[in-house]
Amino acid sequence: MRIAFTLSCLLCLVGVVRAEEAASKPIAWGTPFQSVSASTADNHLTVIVITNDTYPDQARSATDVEAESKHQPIWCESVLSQSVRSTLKRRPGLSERLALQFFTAGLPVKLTGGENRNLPARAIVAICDRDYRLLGFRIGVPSAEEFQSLVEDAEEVRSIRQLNADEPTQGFQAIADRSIERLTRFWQTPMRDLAGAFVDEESDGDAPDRSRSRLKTLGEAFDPIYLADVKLRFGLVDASDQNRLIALEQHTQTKLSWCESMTPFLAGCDFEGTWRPLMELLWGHQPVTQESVDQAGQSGQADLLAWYDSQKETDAVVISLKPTLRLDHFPWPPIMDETRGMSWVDAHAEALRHPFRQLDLQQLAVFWRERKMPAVDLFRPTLARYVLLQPNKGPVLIRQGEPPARFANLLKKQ
Amino acid sequence: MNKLFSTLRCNRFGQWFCIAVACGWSANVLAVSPGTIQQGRTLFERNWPTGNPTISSDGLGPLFNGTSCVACHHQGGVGGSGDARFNAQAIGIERYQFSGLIRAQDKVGLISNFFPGFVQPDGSVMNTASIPHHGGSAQYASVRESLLSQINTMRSEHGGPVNASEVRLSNQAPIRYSGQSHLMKLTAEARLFQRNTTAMFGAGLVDAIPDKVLVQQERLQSRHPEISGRLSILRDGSLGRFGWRANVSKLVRFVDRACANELSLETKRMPQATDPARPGYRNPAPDISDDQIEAMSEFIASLPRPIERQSDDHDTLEAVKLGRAAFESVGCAVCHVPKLGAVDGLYSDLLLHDMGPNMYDYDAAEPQVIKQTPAVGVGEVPGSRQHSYYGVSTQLPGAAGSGVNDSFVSPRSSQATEDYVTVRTGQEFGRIVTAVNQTARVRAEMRILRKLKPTNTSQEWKTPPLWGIADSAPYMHDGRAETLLEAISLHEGESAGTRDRFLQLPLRDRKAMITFLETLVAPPNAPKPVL
Repeated sequence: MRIAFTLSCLLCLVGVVRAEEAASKPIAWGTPFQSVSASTADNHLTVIVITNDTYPDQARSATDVEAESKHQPIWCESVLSQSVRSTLKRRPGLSERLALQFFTAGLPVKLTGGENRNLPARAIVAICDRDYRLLGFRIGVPSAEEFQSLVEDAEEVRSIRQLNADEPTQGFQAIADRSIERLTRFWQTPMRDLAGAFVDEESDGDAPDRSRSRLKTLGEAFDPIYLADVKLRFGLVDASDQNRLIALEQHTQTKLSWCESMTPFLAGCDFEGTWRPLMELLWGHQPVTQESVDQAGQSGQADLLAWYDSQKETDAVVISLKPTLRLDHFPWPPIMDETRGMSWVDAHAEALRHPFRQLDLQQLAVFWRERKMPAVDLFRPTLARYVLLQPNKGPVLIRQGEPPARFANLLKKQ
Repeated sequence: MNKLFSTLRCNRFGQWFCIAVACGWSANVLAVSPGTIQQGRTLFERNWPTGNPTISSDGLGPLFNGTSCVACHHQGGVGGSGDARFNAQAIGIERYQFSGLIRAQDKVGLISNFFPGFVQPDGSVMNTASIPHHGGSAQYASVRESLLSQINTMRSEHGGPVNASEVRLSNQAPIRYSGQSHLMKLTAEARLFQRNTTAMFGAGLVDAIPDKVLVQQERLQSRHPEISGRLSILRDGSLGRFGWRANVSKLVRFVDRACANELSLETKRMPQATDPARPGYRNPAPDISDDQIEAMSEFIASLPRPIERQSDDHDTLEAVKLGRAAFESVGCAVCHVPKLGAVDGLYSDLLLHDMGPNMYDYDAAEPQVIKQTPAVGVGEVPGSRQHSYYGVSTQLPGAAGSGVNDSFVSPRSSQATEDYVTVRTGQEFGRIVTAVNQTARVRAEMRILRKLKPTNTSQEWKTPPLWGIADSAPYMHDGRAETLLEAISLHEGESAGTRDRFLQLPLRDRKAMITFLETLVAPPNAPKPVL
C-alpha cells in the first residue's frame, strides 16, 4: 500500500515536472506545410497560424526568404505563445504530437500605395491532422482555455471522421449536428437548412475549384447572419464600424459561431488547397505570402518573369487582375455595359491584342517585387482591373471606376 | 417602536432624539440582531403562498415574477443576480395613431384592448406597463400570451428569454396592434423592454454611502471632457442609488417596492401589482408587515461584499496588473470608480450616464434637477410623468373631454423644464441647492419648485457596480450582452470614447483587462440557497 502510494506520488511529480518543462520551453515554429514523416503518429496535430502581417519587399534569394520566415514575428506571437504554453502545461502529452507553424499573408505595401493596409491586425488559427486535413479553426487569437477547447474540438472532429470513414455523409451529419447544438437559435435555422442541402454531396471536397465555390456558397449563407449577429452583440451600425469589427475579431468569441457553422462543411478538406480562398472570404482580398509557402507557384513565377522580359522592350504588356472570391461571379468585362461610346468589352478586346496575362495578387506581388516596380495602390480610389506596362514608362493602373475609352486609347497608341 | 416615535414627536427633545436615532439607523451604526437577519433570510428564501382575501390578505400575486426573492436573486449565492431567464419585462408604446371617425370616449377602451396594463385605476393612460410573468386572471393571461407571442423569442419556464441572444432578438421585434371600435381605428407600435436581476451583495455598504460622496462625485465629473454623470434626485429630495435607474434611495425602500412589484406582496406604502383585467379588485390587507420588510432589508444589508479573487499563477497576476492599469488608462475608472467614499472595490459612481440611443426604454430616469426652491401660493402643474417601479413613464397627453390625443410618439428625452413636488408634514426633504447637502425639516405641506434640464432620460442609466461581475452574466440593464467583451463594446453615448480607446489597445492589454474584470467575483461566503 505504501509502495503504491509512493509510486503514484512519484508519477504525479514526474507529470508536474514534464508540464513545467513543456510550459517553459520556447515555442518552436515549423515551416508551413512541411512534409510530415510517415512515422509521425496518427494523432498528430498541426496548428497553422495565418496573419495579415506583411513581409519585406526586397528581392532576395529563396534561401534567405525561408530563413527569415522562421524568425519574423507575427503580431500576435506573444499572446498566442502564452496560450499555447498554458495549454501544454495542462496537457503535457500534447507537446509531443502538436506542431506549430505560421506564415503571413497580408497586403504588401507596394501594392497599397506604400501604406500598410493590414490594420487592424488579423489572425486565423487552424488545426489540421498529419495530412493537413482541416479539423477546426478560429478567427482571432485564442486564450489558453479557448486554445485547449479548439484542440479538443479538433480531436473530436477527427474521431467522428475516423468512425465514419466509410460513410462520409454520416460523418458530415454528425459534425453538423454537434455544431448545431452549440449555436444559438439565431444560427441554428440557417445552419440546418444549409446542412440539409449539403448532406447529399460528398463531404470531402479537395479540388481547389470545388473549395472555392463551396466557400463562396457558405459565405453567402453565413456572412449576412454574422453581420446581423455582431450588430446586435457589439452595437455596430454600418460600414464605418468596419475597423471596430476587425479589432473585435481579434477575440475568438466574436466569430466563433461563424467558425462553428463552417466547420462541418470544411472538416477534412485539404487545408493547403483551401486556405487561400478561405482568406479571400475572410479578408476580402487575395492573400500574399512569401514564396516559400507557395511551392507550386514558384515555377510558374519564373515563367511569368521570363515572358515579361521578352516583351517589355517592344510592346505594352497588359496584366489583368483576377477578381476576388466575392467578385468573381460578376462577369468582367461587364456584359451589360451602359457606358456611352466605348465599352469595357471593347477595351478588353483591345487589350487582348497585346501580350496579356491574368494574374492573382500573389503572382502580381512577386512580379512587382522582382522587377522593382514602384508602389501603386490597387484598391483606391476604386479597384484596379488592369495594369498596363509600357516600354520605358511607369506602370499605369486602369480602374473600374474610370471610362474604358482611356484604356483603349492608351493601348491603341502602342 | 412606532408608539415610541409618536410619543417622542410631541416635544422638541423627542424630535432631536428621533433624528439622532434615524441617523444611527441610516448609518447602520446600530447593531442588528442575528435573529432579525435570520428571519430576513428565511423571508428572502420563502416561497410565498397565495392567501385568502376573504379572511386576510391575498398573499402572493395576483401578478408576480417569482414566488420568492431567491428565485431570481441567486447567482453566486442567496442575494445574487439572475440570468436572462429571470428578466422582468414591460411593454412600452413607441407610437400610436387614431384614425377614422374618432370617438373620444372610445379611445381609452381601444388602448386597453391593445394591452389593459396601460390604463391606470384612475383612468389615466401611461406609455408603459409591466408584464409580470405569472398569475393573473384568465383574461389577462390570454392577453399577455397573445402579446408575447408576437415576439419570436424562446422563453424559459421562468418567463424571461433563455439567453442573451434571445434578449437581443426580443429587443428587435416590434409589437404591432391594429384595432377598431365602430369606425375608429387604432394602430400602435410598442416594444418589449426588460430588466436583468441585479446582485444585492454589498448592498448594505452602498446604502451607507453618504449623499455628500455622490454630490462630490458629480462635481468631479462636471469638469470631465467626455463624461458627465449626474445625480438621480428623487421627488422626495433624496438621492437614488439602487435600481438600474438609481430611482430608489434606501435599501429598505428598495425591498418595500420589490415585494409589491415582483411578488405582488402589498405593503403599507406600496400597492401590489394590479391585474388590469380586474381593475376594481383590492387586497383587503397588506401581505407583508413592516417588521418583515425591515428584517429582509437587514438580511440583505448583512450580505457579504464581492471580492477580488487572487491568483497564485504568475502570468495571471501580471495580466491582472496590466488589466487594472488599462482599465484606468482608457477611462473606465471615471464612471466605474474603484472606491466610492469608504467602499473600496465598488467600481461605480452610482451616477446616471447617457449610454446612447440603442440603450433606451420608456421607464426613464428621473429628470435632471438643477435647482429646487420653495414655491408659495401656486397651483399644481399637471404632471405628465408617473413613477413606476422601473422608472418614470409618461402619461399619454390629452385635453379634457377628448380622452387621449389622436396620435402620440413616446419621447426619448424629458421635456419639462420645471415641475413641483409636494412635501408632507414630518417628511425629511433633502435639498441640493449647492454642493452642500442641506436638509430642511418641514412641518406642513409644502411645494417645492424644481427647475429641470431636459436630458435623454430614456437612455440614462446608473453605472452598475462591477464588483461581482464575473458571476453575474449576462450584462447591461436587460442582459443583452453575454460576455464582458460584448458589454464593453455596447458602451455608447458619453462612454463611446472610452470604448474606442479600449478597442485601440493592443490585444494583449484588452485581454488583460478582461482577465482583471474576471477577478471581480461574488463573495465566496455568500449564503447558499437551501435546496
